Amino acid sequence: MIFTSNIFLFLYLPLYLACYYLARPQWRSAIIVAGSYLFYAWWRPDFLFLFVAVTYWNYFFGDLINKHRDSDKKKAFRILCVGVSGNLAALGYFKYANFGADVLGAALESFGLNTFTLEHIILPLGISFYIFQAISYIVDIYRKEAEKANNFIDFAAFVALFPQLIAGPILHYRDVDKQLKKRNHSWDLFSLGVCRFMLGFIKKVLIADSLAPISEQFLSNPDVQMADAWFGSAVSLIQLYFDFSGYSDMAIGLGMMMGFKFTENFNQPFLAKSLSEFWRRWHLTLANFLMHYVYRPLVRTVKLSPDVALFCTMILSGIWHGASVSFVCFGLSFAILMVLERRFNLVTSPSSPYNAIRNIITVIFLLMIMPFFTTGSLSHSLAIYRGMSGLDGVGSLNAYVIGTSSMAMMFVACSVIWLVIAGWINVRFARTKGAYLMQNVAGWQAVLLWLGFALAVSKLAANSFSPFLYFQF
Amino acid sequence: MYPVMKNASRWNGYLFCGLLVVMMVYSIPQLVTFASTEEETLSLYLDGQLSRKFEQRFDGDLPFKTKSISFWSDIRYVLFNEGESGVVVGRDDWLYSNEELLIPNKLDEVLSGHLAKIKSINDELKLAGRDLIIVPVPLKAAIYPEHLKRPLDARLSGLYQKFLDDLKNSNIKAVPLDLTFNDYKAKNKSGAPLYLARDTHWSPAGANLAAQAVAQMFPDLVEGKRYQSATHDTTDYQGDLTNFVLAGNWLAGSIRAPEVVPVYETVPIVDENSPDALFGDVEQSIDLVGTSYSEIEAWNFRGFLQQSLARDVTSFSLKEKGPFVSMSEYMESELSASDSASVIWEFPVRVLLMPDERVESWQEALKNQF
Repeated sequence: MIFTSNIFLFLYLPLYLACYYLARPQWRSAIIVAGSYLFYAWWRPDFLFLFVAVTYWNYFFGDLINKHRDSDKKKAFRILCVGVSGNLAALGYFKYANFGADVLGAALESFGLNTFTLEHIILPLGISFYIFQAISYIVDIYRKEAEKANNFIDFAAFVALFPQLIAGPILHYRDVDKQLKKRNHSWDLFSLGVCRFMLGFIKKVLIADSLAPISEQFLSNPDVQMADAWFGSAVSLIQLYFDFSGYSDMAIGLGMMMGFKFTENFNQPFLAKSLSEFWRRWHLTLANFLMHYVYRPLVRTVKLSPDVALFCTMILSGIWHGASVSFVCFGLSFAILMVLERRFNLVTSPSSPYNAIRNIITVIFLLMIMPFFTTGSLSHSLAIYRGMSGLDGVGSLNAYVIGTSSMAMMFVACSVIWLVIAGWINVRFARTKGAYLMQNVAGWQAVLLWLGFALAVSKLAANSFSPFLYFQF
Repeated sequence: MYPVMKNASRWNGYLFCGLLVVMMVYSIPQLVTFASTEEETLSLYLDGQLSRKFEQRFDGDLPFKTKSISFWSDIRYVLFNEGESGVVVGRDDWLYSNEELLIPNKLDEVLSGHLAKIKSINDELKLAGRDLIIVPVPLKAAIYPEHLKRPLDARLSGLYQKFLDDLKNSNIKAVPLDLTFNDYKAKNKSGAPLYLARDTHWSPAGANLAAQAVAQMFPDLVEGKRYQSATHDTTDYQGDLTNFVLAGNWLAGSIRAPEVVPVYETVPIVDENSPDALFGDVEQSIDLVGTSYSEIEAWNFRGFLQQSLARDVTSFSLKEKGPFVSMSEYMESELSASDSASVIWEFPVRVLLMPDERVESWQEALKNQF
């Protein structure tokens, strides 16, 4: 099920919240599990079996590791390796088997050997997210950074929690275990959750979905000229931001409606002054996961140099996003540029002073990297780079106006204005309380939010829903 | 500290709960009704079809769906004077398909690709001992650019002649309709338009003129069977492009109005005194392969062609498939083994602007999964 669908908003959510709040507090975890399984099974009930199996696998291994981690550290480590390998095997089969078969087939073909075909394997929704989340549980137990779950229902509720099930934010068990046992429910938190949900809904339906036709027009035709290529790339990036950050806002808002406080996933990424800083502002929970479970172990345990570890981490990040050479290049491009930033002392942090020139340069680099991500195809990306370089002519934006609409172009302008205003307020008032336009949603801010929500609901009713882009991963 | 909402008035929560309660009261009966009418639910449920089916019905029955569609279309029309994606709103209540105006970046490459396919079809027909005659249908925007709000791009106004030149260089026969159409337009200022104002296609007048041009250009094709086309009535024809203007009638009334189209019928003239009337020679039919320009009966292109060529015309035309698919299916059909020595191929020139292959992005593929 998708948050931005009529069925979710007008049937599932009211029924779920009614059941949740009418149930006794000790039953609420069970309601979360049942509701989340129903939510997940709405897409393909058969994949629910895999989901439950992964949940049970990790619960079982968590228990085992917990039993041995004090008495026999080596055995606990071996159990951890088996547990993590099982998770990675599931992820590898469902996400990378097709890609592996293609690569192997092509390699064999180049040697003139008979090639083979693998039946297309469907990618289960959200597998990259819930596998990572499950891995974090058993690793944290091994490292003694988290206690094992009280019971299977609590653990299943952690893995399945529907607001973040399909596209994050990626939670760590240690961050929510106390909330699973006890959390406060109040009208204040519920209302804040409602506002956060509505904001995300507006971002996705009103902005991201309105930019989608331009992005599709851009991505459906590899032969682009300079203006079209840069503009298309920029719109695709903005669409991706509004789509994914909108999803994260909705997830965080829904969590608040149930008394949870999730980790933030975005922090004004287009204000980044370096690519290293960008990853401290974009998809923060993935970046934290990679930092915590990949980069640091590579540096501290495997004793790789920080630069090599960064290369490995960023390439893994690329592969996590998608099984293709293009996503590897996506990770590799970031790795090269981030290592260069380290070498030339250009790494910045979100708290360092704003520098417009470095911000603009960072955004230009982002636009140059994004075709690897948005196309998912190396040859298509190279065609776009050719277009960006101007080798195929200067171009005009006519194709977008005639091929999509002036209204879509107006939404591009609205999204840019949104980003500029939000960025300006953040930079201008960073050290004061008012660094966000809707810090306290009351009065005119509430009216504005509800007006936007009403427009978004009517747009959803008019056009029906479209899935979130990160469902792909 | 992240720049995010920190507090919200409780009224937001109360109002949201009120909205959810109202919608839940509306939605539950929908669910119950659906559940009581469905059969074979388990098998449908397991592969996710049942939920999609219910979702589609739920979306379609939403009480504010129609109002929402009108609302967004009205905004679009008022602010930008545009319809849904696919149509370009012109002056004087004329509408154009955006396919006629979208120029691919590598136009020459796209044209070469199409020409190569046409050449191969021509070669294949030649091997079978048949003659290909292409009837390229000009862009509506090129014949009637005066109703466009922006001047027509020079590449589009020159597209027809370039295509004719390419065909000529490849020794493929073609009927230059643009000259005929422009000539007609110049001489008949108040005559019937050759294209419908709010439809993608030509009018019966355009189809008739095209049929006459084929006969004039290839007099060898004309035989002796006499046909007569006559109109006794008119019909209100709702142009296909009006489907892309969904704004309310109060805003876009005239642009959505149907057009009056004469209804033509072509019948053979039987001369009862002629000795050939009953047992005369069987006339040889000629094959027409085409698209919706030939397939839609309202234009009567086949009838006009029969009249102009004075012979039977067997039509193999498909709607919404384009000329290449029509031709490929024709060549695979039994009809391709007919005795027709020539094949007339009605070919809308706007197809030349469409790239051969469209890339399906992962974003689009993702959409199709839900």
